[in-house]
Amino acid sequence: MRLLAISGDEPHDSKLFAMRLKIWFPLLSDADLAVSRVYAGETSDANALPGVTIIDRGGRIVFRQVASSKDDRISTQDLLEAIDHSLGTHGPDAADRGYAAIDRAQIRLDAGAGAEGSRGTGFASLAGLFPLSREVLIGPMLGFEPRAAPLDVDLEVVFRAPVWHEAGAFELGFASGYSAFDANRGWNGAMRTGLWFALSPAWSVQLDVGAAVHTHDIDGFGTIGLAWLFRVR
Amino acid sequence: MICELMRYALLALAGSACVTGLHVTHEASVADGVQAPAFALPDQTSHPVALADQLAHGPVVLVFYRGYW
Repeated sequence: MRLLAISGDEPHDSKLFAMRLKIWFPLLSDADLAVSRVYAGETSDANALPGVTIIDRGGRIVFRQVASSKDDRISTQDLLEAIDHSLGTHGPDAADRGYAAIDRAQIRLDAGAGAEGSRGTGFASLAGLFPLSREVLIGPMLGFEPRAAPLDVDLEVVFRAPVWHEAGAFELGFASGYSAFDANRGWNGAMRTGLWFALSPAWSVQLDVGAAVHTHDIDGFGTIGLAWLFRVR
Repeated sequence: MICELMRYALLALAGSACVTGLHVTHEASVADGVQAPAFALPDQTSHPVALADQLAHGPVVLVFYRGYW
């Protein structure tokens, strides 16, 4: 993310100002206020109105605040929150990269326990999920269920409803595939639903409950998981 | 890190801004959701800085302030 400060000062005055306050970012000179008038407005003493504009990486304005008085300026904390929220990101690292956790692909590891009939069973899955949009993820999933099916090789589709400024989502996932290493199992299907939440731009946690249908039985399970998030486009 | 730098920067700029007793003679023409109008302005070393070039590196925050009094 880049920060540009704009005033009607000439470059020479801005240079003195930057030196005095040890400012590290560009102080741009809008001497005729042509840009300031468009983005913030002009006051009766021929100055720009103090204001802040956040522009996403696609060039779209996603947040604006213009101060109408000295007490109306946005606070630093509110601006940092506005950056996180308006860019659909969470935390300072996300704002820096400008790429929301929810837009990222995931390598997701989930594990938990459940029941197969009257027996308890363990369950774990490793999935690589690619975002088709913020609402749909798709990718391969390996399921491990020691008692019922040692290895399922599935394709999973996850539908999401983003919440909390897109730092989280309610999810509903469907998987279907082949149960390997067990001749009696054959094809299987599974669904799970739960909550996904980005801890940072690179990591998320998820809590799910679900059910898997194999040829001869149905398993129910609950899982907790961790996902590594990475940029793919 | 960037949080701390921005906090310092904005506090520094806030001290230079005061509009009490003035009135607005020209309203801004942009709004949320629209494409940001392109511009290129000289920085404190007189090098031109174009919005489009900055957007190539990611999102941009513009801070309008009232200059060095």
